[in-house]
Amino acid sequence: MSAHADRPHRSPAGRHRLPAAPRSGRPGPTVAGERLAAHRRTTGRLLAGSIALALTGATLALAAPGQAAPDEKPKGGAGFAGYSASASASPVKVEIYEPTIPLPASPQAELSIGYTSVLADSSSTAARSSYLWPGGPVGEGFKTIADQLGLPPQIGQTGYPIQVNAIFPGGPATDADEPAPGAVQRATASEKTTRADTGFSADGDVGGDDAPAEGEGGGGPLPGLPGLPGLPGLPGLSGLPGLSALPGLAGLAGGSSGASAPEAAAPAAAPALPEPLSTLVDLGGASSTSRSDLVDATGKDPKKVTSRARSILGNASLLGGLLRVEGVRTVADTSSDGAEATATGSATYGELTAFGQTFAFGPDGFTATSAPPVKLPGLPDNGAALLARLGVTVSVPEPVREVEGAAATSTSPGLVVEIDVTALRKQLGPVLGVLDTVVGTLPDQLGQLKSLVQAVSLLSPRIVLQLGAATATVQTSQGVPPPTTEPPADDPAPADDDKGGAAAGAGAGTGAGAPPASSPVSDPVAAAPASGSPTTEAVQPLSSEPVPGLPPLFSIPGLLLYGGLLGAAVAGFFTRRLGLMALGGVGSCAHGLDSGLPDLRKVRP
Amino acid sequence: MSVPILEVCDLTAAYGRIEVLRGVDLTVPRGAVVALLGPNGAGKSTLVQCISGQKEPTGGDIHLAGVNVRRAAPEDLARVGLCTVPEGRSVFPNLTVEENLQLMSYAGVPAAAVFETAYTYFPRLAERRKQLAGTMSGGEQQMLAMSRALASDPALLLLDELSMGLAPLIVEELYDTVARIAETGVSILCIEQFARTALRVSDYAAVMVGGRVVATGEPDEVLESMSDVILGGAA
Repeated sequence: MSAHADRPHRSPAGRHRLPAAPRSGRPGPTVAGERLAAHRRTTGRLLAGSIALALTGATLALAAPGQAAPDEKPKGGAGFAGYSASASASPVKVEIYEPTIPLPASPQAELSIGYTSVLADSSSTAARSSYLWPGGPVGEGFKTIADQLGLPPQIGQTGYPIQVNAIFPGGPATDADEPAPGAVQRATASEKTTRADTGFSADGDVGGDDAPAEGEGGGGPLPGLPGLPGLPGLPGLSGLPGLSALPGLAGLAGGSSGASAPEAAAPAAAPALPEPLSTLVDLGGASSTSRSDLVDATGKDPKKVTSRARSILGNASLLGGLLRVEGVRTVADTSSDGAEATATGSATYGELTAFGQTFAFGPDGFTATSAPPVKLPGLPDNGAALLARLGVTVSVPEPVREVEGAAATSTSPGLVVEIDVTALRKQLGPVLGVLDTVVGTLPDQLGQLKSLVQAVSLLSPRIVLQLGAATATVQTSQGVPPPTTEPPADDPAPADDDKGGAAAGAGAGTGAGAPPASSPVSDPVAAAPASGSPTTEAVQPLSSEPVPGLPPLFSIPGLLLYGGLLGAAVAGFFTRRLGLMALGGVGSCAHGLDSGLPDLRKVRP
Repeated sequence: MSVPILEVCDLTAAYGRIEVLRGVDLTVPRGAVVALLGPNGAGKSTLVQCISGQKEPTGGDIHLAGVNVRRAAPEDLARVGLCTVPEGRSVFPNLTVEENLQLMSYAGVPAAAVFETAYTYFPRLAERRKQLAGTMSGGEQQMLAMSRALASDPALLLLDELSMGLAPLIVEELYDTVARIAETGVSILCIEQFARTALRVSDYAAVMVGGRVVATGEPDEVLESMSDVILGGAA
């Protein structure tokens, strides 16, 4: 088939074909016939016009199938092409600041009890849940630290052991573990929902049928993981005022063991923190949940991303019972729909008891609600003053709610208890004694580790306890608008299709239905592939930069270009000789002979 | 007089601080067979490595057909017709004779031509074409190594210690083949410890001791002038 077969026929010289004149000798048309013919022509023109109009309308409608009608667009949501979200929560976090510890981190040591975190973005999601999380430097670099401490290689081979991780799409999608009875850690990751839960109850009580609603922790075992209990109940929350007003929290309080609660989880088998740590911090129950969700648009609700972090602390006993805290719940929520973001959260506190004196949290901070049960000689009557004398301060940091466009950050801190060990050493005497006893029982083969632990017992660090902490962030971003194909005004290249100019080259190949080269895309979100509409608008040229043609031969740029190409060809041809020149092997040798490689086969006798 | 196909001028080479070649001068005329003799450690194999481009000399020049090729790469030298049969044969022991020869076809020589050349010079290889090279005798492996070298249609052939570890009868047979190869116009430099067999087929000979060429000339002259001790005494 000829390449010109599809071209429209044109008359010679492009002129229109003239109608043929009536042949002479033949009768002309009658008046009635002329009217009939005129009527037929009029009808035909109207019919053709209608068909053309219908085809044009259908073509225009098909050309932009991805553009939704204004009425169908979800209210308030502009959509988004990409997002990132994170959430982390921990009911208890212990930070130790001791500058003499030779670790390049601040704090030098940390430990989170009931740590959960999720990290999600448009391409991947990850969730981590750990009943005892030693912080990023130790948790992530556990293998290296174990190697450097001279521990057996099998200890650090699989990384930090007390954690479960879920990763999408790399997998595993779900992981769960119960390192001790009553301590549950779970993580799930999928394209739209990423969640990490962990819970701990010192009395071994685990939630059963009275699990709270979705999103409030607890709940039954994960699908496919039969037998794994739900998050533990938190007995200390039973006395929290206004507990019933907190949705879902009531289910965690009391820790009532339902009919399906395993009988094996009896108080006799209750888990507990290690002895030195439980002297410093002892928990009656704690749980945390971090999750991120990509919520599709439904009805008038736009597509959005939410992230939520929540930590619940039932009760905690600090410093061997000198300080008791009950019912600390922190929640941080963020969401973004591409146009606007929200950051909310809450922090509620129960009672604080110091040396038997009860305090309640109010506008002025913690105020005493009861008299001290026993007046200690030589010490202040007021519990707060007494705490200050002992180097213990309790503070309530301000929550952070930041919204900037489509990004939001919400941080809900709980109580912060700072302990200056220098002032408290006398009170911690029994604790240090226990630690020395424990260290003394370590085998000498541990060497460096044993001396390290002994050195720790001699330190006087500043210890910061964060009781309840939840942080959530979310950010959405719009798609990068495809570049326009309109050539710049100062482009000397002609835009005539027949001459193959820059605009013609850029616009070619977009196919039927593509926007014209001169019309910039006005709605980048609609044009982005993430909008899910397989429209022809997604087929855009990779670059809008005009493709410059070769410069004319007899111009300075042309001479430079072609001269350079010629020089490169010559240089390439003599590359070997140039290489030899660089190595000092070119030219005559000491005996006056040229260098090179002769074909020995041609010099045979 | 025509330009010699190989001319080594005042060549020096060293392994670290140990100088092995101390100003070697050697000439191989076109179409001639030159035997380079000398005791173990004289630097013969180092000289072959320098000529074939495998070792960079520290001084002096190497001329092929009158052209300085001192810094040329081994593969380039092989392409122009310089071929080496290394000491120890270096055949692929886990490949058959045919497969060893077939490898030469990757250098652009048709496999059929490789087989024809090999089986013409060494009919015994045809009988063992399906045998693994590692299971053959030392003499047969040397035949295979020479066959591979001949497949590249060499103009200058460097034979390094052809007789190493072989029975005298096999050595005689191999040197007969060397003589047949030389009749086709191939220039040959034979590196050898045992002089008498090599000198039998040589046109010229040189004796190398301590990194220097101490004697050159006709085979008879060299044989008479050098003591048996220097020549190894076993030939």
